[in-house]
Amino acid sequence: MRSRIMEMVVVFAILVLAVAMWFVADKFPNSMKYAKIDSDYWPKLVCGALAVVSFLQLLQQAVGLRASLQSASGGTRSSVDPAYVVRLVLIGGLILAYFFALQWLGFVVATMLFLWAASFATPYSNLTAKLLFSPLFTFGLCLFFTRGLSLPLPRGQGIFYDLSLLLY
Amino acid sequence: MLDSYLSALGYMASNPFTFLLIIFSVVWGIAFGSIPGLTGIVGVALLIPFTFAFDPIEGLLLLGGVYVGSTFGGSISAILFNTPGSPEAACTALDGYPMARQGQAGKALGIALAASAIGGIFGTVVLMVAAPPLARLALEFGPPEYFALAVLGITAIASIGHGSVLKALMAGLLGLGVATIGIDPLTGMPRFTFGSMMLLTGVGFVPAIIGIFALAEVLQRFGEGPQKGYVIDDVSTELPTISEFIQTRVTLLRSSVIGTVIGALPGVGATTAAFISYSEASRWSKHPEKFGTGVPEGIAAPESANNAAVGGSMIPLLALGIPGSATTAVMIGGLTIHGIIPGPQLMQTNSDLVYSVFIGMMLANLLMLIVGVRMARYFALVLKAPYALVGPAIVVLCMTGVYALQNNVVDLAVMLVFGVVGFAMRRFGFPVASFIIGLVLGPIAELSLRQGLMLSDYDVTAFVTRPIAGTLLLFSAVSLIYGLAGQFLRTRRKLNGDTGPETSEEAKA
Repeated sequence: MRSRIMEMVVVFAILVLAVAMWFVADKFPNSMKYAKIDSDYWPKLVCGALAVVSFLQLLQQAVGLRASLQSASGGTRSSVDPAYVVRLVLIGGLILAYFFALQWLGFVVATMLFLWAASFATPYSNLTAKLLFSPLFTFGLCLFFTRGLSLPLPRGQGIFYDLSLLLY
Repeated sequence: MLDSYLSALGYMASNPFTFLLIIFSVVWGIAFGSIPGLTGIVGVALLIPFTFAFDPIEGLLLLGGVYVGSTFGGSISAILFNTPGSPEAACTALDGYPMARQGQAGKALGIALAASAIGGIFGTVVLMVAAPPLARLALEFGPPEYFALAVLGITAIASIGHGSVLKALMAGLLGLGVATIGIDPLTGMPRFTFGSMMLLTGVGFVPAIIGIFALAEVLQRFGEGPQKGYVIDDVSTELPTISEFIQTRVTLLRSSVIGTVIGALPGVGATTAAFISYSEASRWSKHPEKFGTGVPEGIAAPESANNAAVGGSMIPLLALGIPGSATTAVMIGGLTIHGIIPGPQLMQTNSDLVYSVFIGMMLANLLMLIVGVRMARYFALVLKAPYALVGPAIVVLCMTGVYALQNNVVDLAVMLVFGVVGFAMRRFGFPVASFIIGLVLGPIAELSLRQGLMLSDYDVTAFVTRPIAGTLLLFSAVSLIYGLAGQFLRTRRKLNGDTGPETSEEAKA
């Protein structure tokens, strides 16, 4: 039941988004030369169609929800595993932190910290592998990109920028 | 023509170094194709300065081999890690990864490899025998034809996947909507950028697909924790048997034709070819509801099409001097540093070069079968490592590859956003394939529709009265009706509780 309601919320959000984007498109600056096929031409077609389809989907889900409420008198409560949410938030948070750390700390430091944090956050008993994998993979990848392919990697800021300059 | 081929063969036979170059280039291409973010374009671009040390034929063979290898290489990581190494392999992940999860990773890799080789050989044969007339046909394609081609792909959105048609349409329309972000290609006005400079260039396709596939997969797997069902084993690559090959022969042929024709169209490329072939394979399948669950046709169609598109994209390059794809545009650089200007005169003035390239590409496709089996096996060794190490390493590899694309942090942000979008789409049952088809074909459909309307003085009938466009639109309408009718009949059968052969099979599955 809860997942059905969640799904309806998502579809409703898409419906609202489609309508809102239609009005945003309506405000696009006009161009005299392309009056009949202006910048809003295609986005309005797409947003309009998306709104109609989302509305139909919402109706279908509402009918389904009503039917299941009537037949199951309250229905079964589907529960979300709290451990699942914790793991998801943890890895999501780590990836986000890695994204920012790449800009501040540079590739080498940020990647080593991320790999250590992520491997220690997941159940795996080989401590040596956890400890060694991070620096080996980081330096291997760094060498491959900077020396082998001459491709850029984030260098970070301040002291970390200077450190990165020493390495690549 | 025969003399030219014999002369080219003689050159290659007397110069065994060319074989070594082809082997090296295929290995290099597969490696670049399989690493997310490092596409074949990067692989070709990095080798261009080295071609200066070789003669023009060797240089072009080197670049052609990389192009062939990289187009297949993307499928290895797509199948094993749900992480497409290159955009044209995004479609392969849709069925390749589910098949690998069912313990048939080796089979999935074998199908991808064989289909790639068959598509590549088909595209090269067409290139060898019909380059000039096909190039002229490609020039007949105006905006109405491009629009009709895009419509052909988009109409398959409704018939893809085994879930709700409305959700598939929503996902497709969302993809079309996301594709409109950025500067309008016609008027130059910013759209849906909300004042952000970062969004002016639009949503990068490579960061988006890496986010949708790879990052969403990592989130899902970490969220669900260590599970036995996730262990992908049996990764020794096995090529399809004759009977399996016969089962997919129609898909292979259709996709190879689609791939060659689309590849020959300037500016469309292998990714579009792969998605349209996948759409058509799904539409004409007796079991379209099984697409996305790990069916061989779902791997064979995009792989044969994207490799056929390699040969196809060489057609306008060699016959007209127009690059058919981004990679061939980079290859023009390799030709010009040797003082060779591709164009209609090339086949007369440099016939040795052109025919050697034809033979070289044929060899590259054949060698790919041998090299690909080995490389896929080495790649698969990564699967023996625990996911606690592999998962974060995939994140790092995706971040590094996407950053290296344009030295741009915005691409990383796009990848993260689409990682969440991909995760949410899976969670709420929206088909990812429909979303990506919208994202790929949206810009082509929009631009060609508006250009076509402008050129025809806003006369919509111009889209149906032109022979190629009209035929494609008619074909789209027929196949849409066919697909929807099939879906309607299947739903009705399910509602009636009919347990015919199809439903029994589904129950077993």
